[in-house]
Amino acid sequence: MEHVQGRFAFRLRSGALLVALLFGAARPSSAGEVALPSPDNPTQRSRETSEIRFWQLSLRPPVAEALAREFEKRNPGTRISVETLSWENGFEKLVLAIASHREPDVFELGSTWIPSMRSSLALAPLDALDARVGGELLLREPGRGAAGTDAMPWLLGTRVLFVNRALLRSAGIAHPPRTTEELFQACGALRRKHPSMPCIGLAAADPYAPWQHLFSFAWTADPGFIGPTVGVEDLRAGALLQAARVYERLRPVVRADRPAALDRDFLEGRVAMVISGAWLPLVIRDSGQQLDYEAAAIPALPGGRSHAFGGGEYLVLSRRTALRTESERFIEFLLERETLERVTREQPGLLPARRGVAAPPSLDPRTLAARQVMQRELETAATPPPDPNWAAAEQTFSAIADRILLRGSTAEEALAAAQAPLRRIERRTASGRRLSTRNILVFLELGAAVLLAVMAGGMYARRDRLHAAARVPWLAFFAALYAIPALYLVIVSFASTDLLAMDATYAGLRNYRELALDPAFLRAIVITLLFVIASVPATLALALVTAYGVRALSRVGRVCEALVYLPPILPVVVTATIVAALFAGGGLVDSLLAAVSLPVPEPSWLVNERAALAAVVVHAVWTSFGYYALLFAAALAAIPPNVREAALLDGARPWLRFRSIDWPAIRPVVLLVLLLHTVRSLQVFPEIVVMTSGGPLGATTTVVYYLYEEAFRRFDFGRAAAVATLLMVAIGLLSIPMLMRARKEV
Amino acid sequence: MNGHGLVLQGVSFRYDATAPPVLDDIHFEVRRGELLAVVGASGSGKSSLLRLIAGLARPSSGTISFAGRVLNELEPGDRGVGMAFQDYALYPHLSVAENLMFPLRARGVGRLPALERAAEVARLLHIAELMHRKPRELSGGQRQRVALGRLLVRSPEISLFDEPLSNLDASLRRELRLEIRSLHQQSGWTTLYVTHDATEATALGERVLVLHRGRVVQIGSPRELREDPRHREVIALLSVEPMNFTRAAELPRAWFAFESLDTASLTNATELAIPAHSIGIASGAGSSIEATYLGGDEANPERSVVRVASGAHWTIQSAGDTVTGASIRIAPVRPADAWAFNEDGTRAGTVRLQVA
Repeated sequence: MEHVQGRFAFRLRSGALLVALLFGAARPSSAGEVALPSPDNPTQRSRETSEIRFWQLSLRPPVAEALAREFEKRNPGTRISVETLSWENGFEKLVLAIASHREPDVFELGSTWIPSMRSSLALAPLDALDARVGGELLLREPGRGAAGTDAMPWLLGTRVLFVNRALLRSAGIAHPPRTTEELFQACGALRRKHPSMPCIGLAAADPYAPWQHLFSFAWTADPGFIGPTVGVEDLRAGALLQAARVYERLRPVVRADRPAALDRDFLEGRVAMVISGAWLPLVIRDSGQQLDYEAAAIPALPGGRSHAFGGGEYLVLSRRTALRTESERFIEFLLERETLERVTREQPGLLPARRGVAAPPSLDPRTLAARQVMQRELETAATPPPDPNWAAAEQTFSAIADRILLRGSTAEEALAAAQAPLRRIERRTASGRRLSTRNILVFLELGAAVLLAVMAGGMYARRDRLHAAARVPWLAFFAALYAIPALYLVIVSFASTDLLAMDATYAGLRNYRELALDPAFLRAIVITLLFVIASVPATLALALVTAYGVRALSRVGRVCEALVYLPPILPVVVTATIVAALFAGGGLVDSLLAAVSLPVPEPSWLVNERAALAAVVVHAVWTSFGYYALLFAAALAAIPPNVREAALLDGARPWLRFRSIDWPAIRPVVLLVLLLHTVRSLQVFPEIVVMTSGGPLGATTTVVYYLYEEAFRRFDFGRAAAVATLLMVAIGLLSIPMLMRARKEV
Repeated sequence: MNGHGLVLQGVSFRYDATAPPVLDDIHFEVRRGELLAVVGASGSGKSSLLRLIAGLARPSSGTISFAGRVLNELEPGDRGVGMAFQDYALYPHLSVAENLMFPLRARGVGRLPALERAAEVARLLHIAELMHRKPRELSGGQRQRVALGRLLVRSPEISLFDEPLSNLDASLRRELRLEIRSLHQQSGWTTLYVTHDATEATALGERVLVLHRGRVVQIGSPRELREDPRHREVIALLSVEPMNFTRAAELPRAWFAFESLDTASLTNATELAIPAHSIGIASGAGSSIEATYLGGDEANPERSVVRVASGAHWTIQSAGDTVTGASIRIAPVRPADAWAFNEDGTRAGTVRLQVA
């Protein structure tokens, strides 16, 4: 799942988060504590209407609507309002809804997130429903907590091995490898036949996919190797080590890249085997290519048998719903065989969680066969542990694969490196004095009052009442949108909070202390500074050159000029996707470099630890220099043409003309742009989400990306607030001298 | 025309091949040490002429040379040309001293000698006390003095003035005009001085060049031009006496004594320039034309302005106390010569006006 959002969307969301928290905190409750969700605290809204709110991601809106109407027909008096969330930011939206007690009655939840939601008491028990229909369902484990069932499997996913049969046959291999030994042999044979072709594509440089591939191998040896929590006594023993050794041994013939790139390579016959999911057969079918392929179980370790990765989308019920019976009935309806057959007929890429659902009739035999392999694998698939910390641990497990495949570490080294971060994740349990939200509010109000008093006092001292009165709206605006949230942020940074549970305990300087000791955070600072140092001067220099170039352009050139100004006004998601495509393995950038005999990063730019940040820098420069060029060109155009001509007549050479005429005229603009762009670059985020997800191995995890992960992956809002506070202070310190300088200049 | 001064031969200029020429086949010479004033209405190509000489624009054809050396291919900085602009074109971010030093510094003169030279020029132009100011802290007159100083500092062989005094008030204009004249005399510059103000042109120029629609219509001393104008534009721009321009056909035949010009050339198309002093309020009704009295002439209490039937404004001899708006009749009140011009503006001859 890609988490894509514009820079503003992120800001907006941070703001919304604050509002949500404030709102949650302001709810009346007897003890002044956070109102914990409880079954007997139904929301007013739901009681008045009998409308079930359903949030989902998997179904296309018309399909979801059709199901809702069907349910309404069968259950008069109940209305279903469907909202389709996007994969890009649906999860964040859900988190915010839960934090502000505004979540829907029924919602779809990825299996990875169930433990976090469960631990925050957001989910209602579904034991009765499970007893009725659970026997028919696959992969029930993730839906079962210590207290019983609270999530019903709905649409599942797994990972299997796809093999290019033509390539395998050309190397004299008759069937897909069933064991890792056969896999090594197959790769050996392929290498002899096609020396430059990678044998197998394995996911890397992504937070989610690499561990799924790695674990799929490990589970063949021991489906229970990881126990109920993320902590593994010693990673350097057992199934994970065996799987890591397979990776180590395969490394010379592996194509390591992000999953989408692997799928594309497989489709185009550039890699013989790839691990992928249910979408790939449809991608191959829709590409119109007659690829001769076959799906098979993940090759098993010696003595083991296939237990593929299992996960997927589950249906859950809000603990706060007022329409429990109706909602349960709706979930049951969504799990009915006819419903699921209808769903897969419309969207054949989805794998229903229910046994015995007829396959979509429209599928060709090859796609159908691949689908059957996946359905069979789901019967024995293993799932990640039901630990609320799992979401935070995923990345660490993915990094094991990245270390071996991208950095060339040995299996033992990669596993050892994962041990410390896992221990840090385990240690993260809230402790300390309870900081009630009422206290937060009191702090907040006090702070705001002091701030307003200081400002009002300052204005009163001016003895200009009208002037002061005229400023009140601005002051209120400033307070509401900037001062109070900023103050709140600072207060929260001293608390240990779980975003989902709305639970805050006073933690003193713990967040800051932990940040100071967290190598990942320190690395994020270094990476952010590297990014700023690399991108800001380059952007400004290119902008200046462009500003001059544009002045010299003919009328035809003026049309081309638009191309320079286009990237800054395009959404970052669009530009980042374009740049990611240019930098993809074998993409345009690689071809250009190869054409002039320059080295091309291996395996590809965005997956190479040294090169990924460079690609992000290129994106940053490309998307911003045009805007600044426009500002510089405007400043240059403000110089009277006669002044330049006088300098020409005075015999001044270009450098002297630039130094004494152009530079003094544009210097204030350059200084301002330097400040603005540095501040902006310190907050680089959405392009990182799109291009690298902070990877590979954290090589592009900047401060704001780190903040995002703390808030929305680990739900540690206290620590995220501490990061934000530090960033705020840093930007403030940076701005003061630069603004003073700029003011003097202007 | 192959002297040692600034020589333009067949110079034309157009912005692109399809556009009408801004300057068309210009020939003239500015003698060494001479100050030639160029006068013309706006759009006549005066500024373009200077830009071609300065090298800020390239002629479409023709050659520009100085002292026998062709300038066409030289960069502006290598032509030995200095220029003073109407908007002064001072370097806004440099102090007065730095502005004055700039041309020297650009040519590699050391800081100290440059400063000495700048101080010297500043004293000469009475701006020595302004040396540390920035241009925006100066008045218009001070700015133009700095601009003159910048010109003087490098003493170019050719100096070009592009309406340098237009933005200044009348008294300052006179003062600086004198200053420029004395600078020109002291320095021995070969000077081209562009203006739209005929008074300025005749006051400064040893010779005056009249430019009209991109062509040189006449070049000569102010006196030559006044006494022997070859073109309607010359008399329109340079005449001290206000002239009334009109078609001959619009006037009664009785106004003219035909012995001076054959009737054939006094066609309907011919335009006349009638001096204001020869027209006044008619005593009788015969051979006069109708006009509306508009009031006294601001520039000259002896003259009044009227509107004639064609809608044109005429300047006439003032007479008595006529009420503004009153209908009057006007006619020649004393014999005088009127210039007659052909359709294309060239002179056809003179016509004698008689008191009817």
